[in-house]
Amino acid sequence: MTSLSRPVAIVGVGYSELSRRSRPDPRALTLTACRTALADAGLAPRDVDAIVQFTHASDSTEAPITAYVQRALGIDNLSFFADLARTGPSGVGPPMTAVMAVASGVCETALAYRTLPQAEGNNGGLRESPAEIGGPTQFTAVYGHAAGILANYALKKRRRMHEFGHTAQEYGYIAINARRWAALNERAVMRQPLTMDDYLSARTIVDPLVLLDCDYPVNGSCAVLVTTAERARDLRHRPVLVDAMSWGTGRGSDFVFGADLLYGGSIPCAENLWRQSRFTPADLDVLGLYDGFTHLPISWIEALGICGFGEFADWVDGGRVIGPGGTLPLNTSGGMLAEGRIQGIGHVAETTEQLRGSCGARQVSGASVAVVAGGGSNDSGAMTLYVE
Amino acid sequence: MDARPAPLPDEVSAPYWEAARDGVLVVQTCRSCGAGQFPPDLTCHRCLDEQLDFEAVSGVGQVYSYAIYTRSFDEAFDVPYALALVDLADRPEVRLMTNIVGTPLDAITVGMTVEVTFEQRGAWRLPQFRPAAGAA
Repeated sequence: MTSLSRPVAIVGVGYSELSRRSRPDPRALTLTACRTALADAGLAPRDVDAIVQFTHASDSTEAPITAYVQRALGIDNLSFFADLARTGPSGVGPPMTAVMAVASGVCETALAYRTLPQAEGNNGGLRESPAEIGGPTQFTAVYGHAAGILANYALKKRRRMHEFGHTAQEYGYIAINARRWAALNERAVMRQPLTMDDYLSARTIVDPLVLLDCDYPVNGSCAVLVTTAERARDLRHRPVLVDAMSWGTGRGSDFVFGADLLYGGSIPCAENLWRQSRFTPADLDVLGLYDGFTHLPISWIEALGICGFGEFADWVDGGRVIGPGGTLPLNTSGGMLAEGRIQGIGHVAETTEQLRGSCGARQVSGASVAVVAGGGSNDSGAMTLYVE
Repeated sequence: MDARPAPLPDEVSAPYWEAARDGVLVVQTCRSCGAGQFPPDLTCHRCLDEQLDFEAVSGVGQVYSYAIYTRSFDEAFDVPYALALVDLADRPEVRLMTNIVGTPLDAITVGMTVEVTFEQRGAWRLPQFRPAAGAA
């Protein structure tokens, strides 16, 4: 018998303001999110003994590292910390890592955050290539694979439409759904409704990817607080328990050259998740699926077995299934497409609020089981959450 | 002057770029299990063998997917241009990134048969793909 396993719960969530306002201090955003999560749980900084965060660039000077947050919150020592960088299921990675740390017994209460200055991941600017390109991008950048993430999702969208004989309309259901939910979320930055005509006439970014396929960059931070299920019982909110988790990469793990361009690691991730879970897709009440691009919730819904491969367009019933009042609401905050790009940790926070019943106007009645997924290419990660 | 970047080969990729410079498309192939792979690497990703050769292929392929840049994200590249993933006909396990050239962009389709052609880039030549001669 090992001590390295015990039940874990999410007990607090916090956000900074999400905005396009120019250059708020990322440290201030982070501390606001972290302090709000602590207050939400009814915990003090001295109760925290672990901090985890994620940035895409290991040398990012924008988001503060865990040591800064520790100092600024006056925490004497950390039993666990990790500054995750470069790859992983983005903002879903820190909460998942925090859950593992607490479950392992290394620490008791872990703070997970993701802070995004608007500039990070903003691919709109014109860049200039060096004269020669070596390393992994010598096989891509020489072909003008500029702002490559945008081209990657254009390539996925074109291939999906070809493979299943669908039109761009199925992607439109995701874009429209984000705005429908965002209209109910005062924190969201894009709350104007969208029509299918709006979607289908949106400006091309890299054909066939259009502007409304892409999430909306904001300055913001979100934090999630994780502790033992035992401790969670004494805190402010109904504990949201972690049922199961998995990461997934797929074979030939690579965003472009990996074996499965359409689903990446989301299929093996979902398979491993359901192997461990006490639930099945039929038990799900609400979905929090990474939506940096409209392709991703569609591929996650199919990878998770919620509908068959290529069947999303039929399953979603014109968007009714996933919208307000639908049978399986998706991204009830508006997600990254409409609440703003905080890269997945917002899905963890929103799903937590749904399960404990604190979502106000957008509360899904009786929600008790949910799945949250981050990334969706070779950077997949997913967790199932529930309340007793 | 062409401001588009040229490849900077390394020890592993040099045979690929040297063959392309000579107008031959090669695929890194495992001496032990025969698997091809792209990009070239230190080991075979299928059987982990380290004995890898570069074998010439026909240069015929099929467009797996493509994207059209209609606005520039890199000023060295004139828009519009087509970025594509091409699966090689005689090595279906190998998918390359490339540009589709020599055709109106609106004539490109997923699944169309293409063949390699080479484009000067600095001191090197890039494998590019154009509609295959005689292909529908």
